[in-house]
Amino acid sequence: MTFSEYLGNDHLRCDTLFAAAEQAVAAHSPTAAQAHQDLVDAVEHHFAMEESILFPAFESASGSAMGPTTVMRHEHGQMRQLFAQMDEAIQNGQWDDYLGASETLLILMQQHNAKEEQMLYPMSERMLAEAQQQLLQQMQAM
Amino acid sequence: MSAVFLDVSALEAPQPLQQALDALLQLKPGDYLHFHHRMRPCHLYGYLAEQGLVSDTRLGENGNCEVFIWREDDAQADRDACQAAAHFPPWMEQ
Repeated sequence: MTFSEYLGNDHLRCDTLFAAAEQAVAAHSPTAAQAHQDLVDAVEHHFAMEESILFPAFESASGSAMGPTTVMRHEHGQMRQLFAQMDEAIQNGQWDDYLGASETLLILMQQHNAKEEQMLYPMSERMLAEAQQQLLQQMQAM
Repeated sequence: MSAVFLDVSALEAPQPLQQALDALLQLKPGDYLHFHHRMRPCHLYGYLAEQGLVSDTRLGENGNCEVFIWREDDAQADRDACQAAAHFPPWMEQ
């Protein structure tokens, strides 16, 4: 197992929940709020694995906390702001507002995931080769 | 071929690095990135080496930094980027 495989598969899991939430909201389904919460929980779990395990290890190995992980943390913050807008929209039944924010989120998330899958994870696999399995075990325990 | 020009001189960290990474992931064969910033992007260079990218850093007008970036195995981009970079003097810390 590698970072690319484990975290890349988790991206796919989040993508599936994202599509389900958008479909539920578009249909004004009574399950929309739960579908949205399932998405937020999955993405926050993914962020937590990266922010508490992968990024600190990467920063320690690279000797810099100002490189790509800074960009990733910044984008996590941008996505959290959009989640907050989507939370508010769904609580108020503002379906179009939700879908507007989710469209922005989709673009941001696609760009973010591409940077991680094509750049950060492969770099991490080279820089953290010896620690990779131990770090993956820590992520799986979360 | 085409030059992809990215002006991040008015942006605050980490947006210049963020936009550079986005642009580099979308770089097509024959393309090079002309990255224009008010300072030398010191946190970008480690990424470039890891990704098989090479760069030429030049001194722009008013002390700005012009970085030309291309894939090391892309001969056309190499030729075009080097020609474009030659319009600027070598980078010197101000």
